[in-house]
Amino acid sequence: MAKKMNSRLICRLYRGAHRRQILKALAVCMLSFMLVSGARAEQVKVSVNGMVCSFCAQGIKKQFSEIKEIKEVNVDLDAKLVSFDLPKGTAVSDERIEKAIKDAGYDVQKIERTGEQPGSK
Amino acid sequence: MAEYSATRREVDLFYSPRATYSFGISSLNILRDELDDRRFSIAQGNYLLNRWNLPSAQANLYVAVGMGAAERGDRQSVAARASLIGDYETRRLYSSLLIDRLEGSSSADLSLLRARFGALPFPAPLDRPNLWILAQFDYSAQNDETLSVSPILRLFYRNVAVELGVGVEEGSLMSSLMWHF
Repeated sequence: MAKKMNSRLICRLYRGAHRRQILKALAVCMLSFMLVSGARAEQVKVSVNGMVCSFCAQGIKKQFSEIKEIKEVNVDLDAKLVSFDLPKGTAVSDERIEKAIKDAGYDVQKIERTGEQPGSK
Repeated sequence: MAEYSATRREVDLFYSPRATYSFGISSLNILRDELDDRRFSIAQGNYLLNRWNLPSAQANLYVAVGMGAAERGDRQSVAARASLIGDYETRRLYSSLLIDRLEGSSSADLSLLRARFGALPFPAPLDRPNLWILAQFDYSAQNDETLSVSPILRLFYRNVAVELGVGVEEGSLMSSLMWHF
């Protein structure tokens, strides 16, 4: 009896207004997933030695602003981390990152990459 | 950078093409009395001799040299400057030592030994102000030897640092502004 009622309910959902709502929700989910995965392909975290003050952070941000693939850089002085996202289809090599940190006057301890890596190393 | 106190007024304008060196001009006015006021206008270069980048700290050793003009009362002469600056800082602690020697041929000489110790009690993220508490000790050896102590508050916000302090002996206010472009 319960099974019959469930199958009737499911049939109703696929009809009329319910069906359109489900399709709309699915389309929104798919679009959001495509946008998020397309905009942020790779996350890069750089551990930096010697980065202790606000002026250090400003100097590092200035160096990274010269790399056109990087739109925004976050500096966390407590974690000694410089982090940024690379959009899909772009790549910045470890050597370029090390040069930016070195030119700002600091040393790279470690570079960690997560997400899609388009053979940038 | 600009520094303003009852006995010392200094304006420095430096350009730093790389992290290892900078050059610019420095104007320093030492106020004592009308006959003994000293003014130095110096073209100066600063060089980072060494930087030690440690996991949670940074230490630096700089040297600065410059040439320019000195005035003492109504006498003018050529002036030379040589300074050695060392500092060590972590996210919460700061210390520095400056040895500054200015020499003019009309006995407008000036020596300054400046030590600074500071702490950041409540570290805040970069987009918020960070307030440091500093103690500055100035030992000046010219006509008379003087040691002055100044408690200072230093406010860091983005690319600007503002300092406000009080000379304990003189009771005079001192302030400075550092702006990194």
